[in-house]
Amino acid sequence: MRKDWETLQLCDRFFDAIEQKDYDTVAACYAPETVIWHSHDCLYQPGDANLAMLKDGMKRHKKMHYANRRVHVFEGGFVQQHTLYVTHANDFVGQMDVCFVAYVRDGMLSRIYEYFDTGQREKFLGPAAA
Amino acid sequence: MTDWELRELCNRFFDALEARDVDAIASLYADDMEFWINVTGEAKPRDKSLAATRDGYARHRRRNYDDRRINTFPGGFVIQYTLNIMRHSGERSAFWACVVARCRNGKILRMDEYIDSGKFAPPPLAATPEKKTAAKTGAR
Repeated sequence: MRKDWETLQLCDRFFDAIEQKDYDTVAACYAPETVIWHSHDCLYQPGDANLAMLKDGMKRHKKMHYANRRVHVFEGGFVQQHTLYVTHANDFVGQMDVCFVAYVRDGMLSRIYEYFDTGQREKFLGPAAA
Repeated sequence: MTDWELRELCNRFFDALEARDVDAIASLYADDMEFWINVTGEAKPRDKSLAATRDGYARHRRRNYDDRRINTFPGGFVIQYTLNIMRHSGERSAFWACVVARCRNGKILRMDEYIDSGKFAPPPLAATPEKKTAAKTGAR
């Protein structure tokens, strides 16, 4: 059994690394079998495809910030609620409330479930997304 | 509250939602309970939340909260579930949602619900011809 603080450290390391555009640290948080499920399509995305998406986002976005992080650790994982702020290339700052549920194995993220509202695309991507 | 007590509270709440038993739901809410939902970003106080639950039942013939995956943490729980809805027309749709709840003394203090409103089908009477076609597929 891993201690709560180890899980909390993993959680913070992961989101801090995305904010800092530290791709290697982000990738190191993923277990080899990591899959990421999103509530908008209900599909499991392989870890490498998700990492490629994150790497692309690090290049395209000026800034990513996970605000108002509320983390709770449960046996085998954690849930984090946050508001994601993204500064796009055109300086539009999008925001989205997200619930991130992660199942952890050996100190790495093994399965991730992300819940958010695609009904608020414009608020996140800007008026051009409407 | 223990892990077992939190799980029981969670299941009692979702069972009551399915059974449309608003009195039972009310009995599980603390007096200062708040219900937040990501779609509006607003937290409703207890009475308004109960009224919204009561009003919401008129829109659907049946709602089932299936595939419940519950994890508990000190002072609360997170539940991931599939909400299966049957409309009065007989159309079915499914939503995948998540609720994080904080609890105290056997009651729910705060619920944060995350759903994807992008999957909401428009009300049949207000639907445009294009949207009516989309709604018939039941794919949203």
